[in-house]
Amino acid sequence: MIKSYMLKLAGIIVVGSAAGITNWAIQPPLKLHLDEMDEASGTVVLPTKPKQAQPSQVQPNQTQDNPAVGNDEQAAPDDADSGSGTTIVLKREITLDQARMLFENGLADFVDARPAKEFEDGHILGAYNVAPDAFTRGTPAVIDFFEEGRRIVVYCSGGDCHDSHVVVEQMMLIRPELTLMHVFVDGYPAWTDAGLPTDIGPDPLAE
Amino acid sequence: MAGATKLRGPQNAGTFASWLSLIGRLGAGQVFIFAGLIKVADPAEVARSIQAFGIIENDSLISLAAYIIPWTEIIAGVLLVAGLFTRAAATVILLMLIGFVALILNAMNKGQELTCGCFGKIELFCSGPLGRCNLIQDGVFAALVLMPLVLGGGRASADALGKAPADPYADYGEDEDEAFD
Repeated sequence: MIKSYMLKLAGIIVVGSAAGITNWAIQPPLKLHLDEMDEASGTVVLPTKPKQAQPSQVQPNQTQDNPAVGNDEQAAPDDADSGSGTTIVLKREITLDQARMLFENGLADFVDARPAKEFEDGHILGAYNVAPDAFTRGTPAVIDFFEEGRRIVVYCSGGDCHDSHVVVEQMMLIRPELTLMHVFVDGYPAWTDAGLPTDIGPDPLAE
Repeated sequence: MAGATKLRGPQNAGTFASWLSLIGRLGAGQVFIFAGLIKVADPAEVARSIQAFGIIENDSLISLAAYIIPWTEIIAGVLLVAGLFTRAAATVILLMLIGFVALILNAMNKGQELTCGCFGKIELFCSGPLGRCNLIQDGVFAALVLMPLVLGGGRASADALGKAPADPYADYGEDEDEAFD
């Protein structure tokens, strides 16, 4: 009796696992991470002029957060006058300091992957709103406006929010030439905590 | 069936238990079938949910779990609704519910703001981040699934097929599933 019960129990688990494994085997592998950005695409040359106010404040943190950042940035204040600019290498996922650096130098467009309601309540200054839902209704019009070769930073509400990753994936599917896409992982809460510029109201480009 | 006054007689033994078990089976079973079907349709979303819990780090394990969990939910759910191997199916569902509750408690403890992913992207019973509502939801499912687990499949089940349907003592436990306790 108990033996029969245990057999059935084990049977259900085995059949369930077998069905799952079969399904897993015939499906293409699930993509759990975005492709990492190659070093050439991740390299940013900072314009010299606006840098001078920022480097001392921004860069020490950067080297801690992201070991891949080039060491040559330490030389930033000296190089600034000579006009050579500073190069740093960004990964697919960027930190608050890197997002702020791109923002303050005007090097990237920002895309808010949160729902329209949250976008209206507050978003990074100048951000466009492209929520993952938008892709189920067709291609969001905003996507056609992004220029090739322009860096795009997508963010959502930080934490375990995965919508920014989804949006990056979808945008790169629709426009493969948009390779310079980043995810700002800490998202909007980190941005507001740092007291950086925000705006309210709906996205004028959203229908 | 006999009149209300005779409900306690041996001919009607197990009728109430059969109904109770049926309610529990259908309630819990169809919820699990539904949850499983939704997840099978979008394994990537399931994988992301699992990833967000941060319990499993290995990508291949996450993908495997994203397929195995929904299929086990469907199979156990179908068996439970059909009343085939009732107690074993109910046990599988109960074990899964215990696992889910452990995951929810763990996430709440760590202060993670996770979405449930219980029904894929659909927020069926609870909305917002994981919290008390999800615990209550799982508690209700556990209560439902306990009925067939304790009482067996009852009369309207595949387990009862092949046994003399008119036997008034059919629910008295000579069937192998019922003799378990």
